[in-house]
Amino acid sequence: MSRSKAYLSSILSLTAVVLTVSALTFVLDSLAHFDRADIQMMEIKEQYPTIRSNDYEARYRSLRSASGSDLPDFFISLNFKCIPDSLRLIPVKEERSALQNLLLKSYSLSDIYTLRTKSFQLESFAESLPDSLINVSTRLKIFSRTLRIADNKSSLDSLAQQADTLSQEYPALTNRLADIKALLRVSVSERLQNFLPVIRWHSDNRFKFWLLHTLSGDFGTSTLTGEKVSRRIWNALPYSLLASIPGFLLAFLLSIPAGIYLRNRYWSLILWIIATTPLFVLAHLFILYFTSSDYLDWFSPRAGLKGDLPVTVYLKGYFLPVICYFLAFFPTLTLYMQASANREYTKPYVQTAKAKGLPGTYIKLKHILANAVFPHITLLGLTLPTLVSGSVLIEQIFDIPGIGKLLYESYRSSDMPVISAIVWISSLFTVLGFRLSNFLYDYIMPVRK
Amino acid sequence: MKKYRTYILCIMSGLLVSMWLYPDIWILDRYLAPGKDILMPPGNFIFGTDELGRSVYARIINGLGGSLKVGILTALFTFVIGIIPGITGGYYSGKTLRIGIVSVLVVIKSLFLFVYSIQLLNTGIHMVQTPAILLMFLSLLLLILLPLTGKLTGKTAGVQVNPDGMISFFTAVLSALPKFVLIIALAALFKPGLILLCFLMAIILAPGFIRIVRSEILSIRNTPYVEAAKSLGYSTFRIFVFHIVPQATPVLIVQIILQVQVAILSESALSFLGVGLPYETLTLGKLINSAREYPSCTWMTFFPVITLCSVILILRNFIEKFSDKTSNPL
Repeated sequence: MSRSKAYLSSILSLTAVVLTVSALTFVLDSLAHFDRADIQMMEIKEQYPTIRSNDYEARYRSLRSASGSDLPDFFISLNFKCIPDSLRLIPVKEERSALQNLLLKSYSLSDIYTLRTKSFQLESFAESLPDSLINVSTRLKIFSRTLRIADNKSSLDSLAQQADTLSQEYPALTNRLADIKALLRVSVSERLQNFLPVIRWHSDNRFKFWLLHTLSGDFGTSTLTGEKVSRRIWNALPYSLLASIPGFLLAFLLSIPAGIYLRNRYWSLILWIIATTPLFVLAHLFILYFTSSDYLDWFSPRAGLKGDLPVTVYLKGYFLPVICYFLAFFPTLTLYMQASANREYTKPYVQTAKAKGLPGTYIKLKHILANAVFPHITLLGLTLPTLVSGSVLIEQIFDIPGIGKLLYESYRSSDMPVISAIVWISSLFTVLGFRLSNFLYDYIMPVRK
Repeated sequence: MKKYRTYILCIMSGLLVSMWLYPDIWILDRYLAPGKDILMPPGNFIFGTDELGRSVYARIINGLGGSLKVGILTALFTFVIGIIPGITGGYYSGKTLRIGIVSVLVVIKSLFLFVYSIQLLNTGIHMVQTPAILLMFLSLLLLILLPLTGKLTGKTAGVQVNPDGMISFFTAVLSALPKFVLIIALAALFKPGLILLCFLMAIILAPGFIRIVRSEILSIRNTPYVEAAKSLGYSTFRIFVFHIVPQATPVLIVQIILQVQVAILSESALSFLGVGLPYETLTLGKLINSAREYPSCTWMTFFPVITLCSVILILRNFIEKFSDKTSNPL
């Protein structure tokens, strides 16, 4: 097994894992039924309440095709034979499901589309009527809108009756309503062959475009603010790193001597207690006792600061979060270090060194430290995702506007694009960190391979 | 210290469990009805009262019950999800299975039928309801009868499948997703109740469980008595149930207690953020969260924190005791 072959297979499996994770995140995203076009159309309707139905339809269509939400979800789709692929292009959701129901009940496709165009014509005619005929125009508008969302026989029949009464009351409309009435009175029977399955292949689909956009760093726009998701995450990143990296480095550097020297039972008891106490409890107690004026007013409870402030203000804000990250990493890192040092203590070369009469400190520093620290370095890769995405708890408790807090706020406002982007990024960093630690291990200790 | 640890452990866990099961014995408060004021601890109420005048002690007992429920349910779900992939992955590691082409076709066909029947049901049209339900049953029946089709068709043609590779790929994917972030995302999506939250947490915790069970089974697989059972011609199912699983019991117990601990911790962290469970279920995390608005009332934070820490401590102690036994059975 050559080394290049091993690297190739690891890259292949990495790609497979990344693709699968992307698919899972896409499922998460599409389960939320988020559609930017719907929200934009609601805004447009609020701004212009008197928008014409034709314009509304056309704008909705163009918005949907711009955001890609009129595309099918995946490469393969399973649908019924009587339902054409073009049904997806109809923008309003209720109209789409109504048309689908009519098609399944064996209404012919051409009849349905004619009815639809007629209803649009009728509505634009009603909108063109003068103000003196407002009564007629309102009734016609409501009639033509219900035409588009009627989805079964009884509602179609009642619409035909309405058309009758309308043409009796206003004989001028008889010509316009006659062909609509004829279309409404078509008699049909339900047939089982409408429900035959058909599998279609779509070369353009939402998953493909989502994947392409995601891989190029474009996660769409946030529902809450309308900003680019990548911009929001990029803005939040420095705050996360400012707290997590010093805490981790402190823990990492201190755990090496701690794992070698602090080997008695009292230290391990203290470590055990720190590891047992939940982190959010510690952070909460810190906030409670070190930042409020009731107890000790040493630090600031808010860490997220901007601008040109003196260093002491930053120190006051970031000291407690850094300590929290330190306490989160320190016990595990020290236990790892202790384990790898213990492994070295039993090796023959240490026995030899002892037999030669070398001083204990010399053995510890020269022999054990040098050998035990190498596996420890590989832990750098494994903690990468936590460093980048930050701890939601710590950032929420200390009010740091980092990625963890962004995630929490997006949860509060159900901002699904941001949530799925953060999930995707942190899983990518997890995979990369794992590979990085494997690579470091191979690089540092080629003998073991 | 180590000598008495078992006794201390037993007494503490007994106290906590009896607090949960028989709260009447331990409620020393004379007045359990909601009072009017926030009261300090030494008084009528042993742990004081909260902002609505409710006894903190009584609320801790309720919250302890909720937390333990979450932990135990999650561990149960994790066990149910993870045990079969763990054993299969360990037992067939490094081997390939030949699966008959008919079985593969049956799987594809039944999946297709399942999706199709769901689509039929979604139309909501009365005429196709009965056929849709029949189709769904048929597809599930085909999946259940799958082993039979494999035996019937023999070994003429087939697809080579590496079950261990597939299982480790899925655990790799699932463990690549960040746990806490994913729970928050799923909670945003589903707005889960108690059982659904436990199930989601179990799905997220399952990869670790599967990996450890797999490595344990891998070491048991090569022991002489399993070889003997194989050479005596016992069926694979029998070897699984009577030879392999009993030997793996200590590891399974340690893993289950570990899942309980992790579930309690993550649920209380979620509740502390205000993400987790709906209003009805009270947990220790919620108690700590509700005390955040009253920083000067120390007892409202302190006693739930102590209870949570002692629960975690007891569980960790159990884990260590069992791990000692597994590494050193005599």
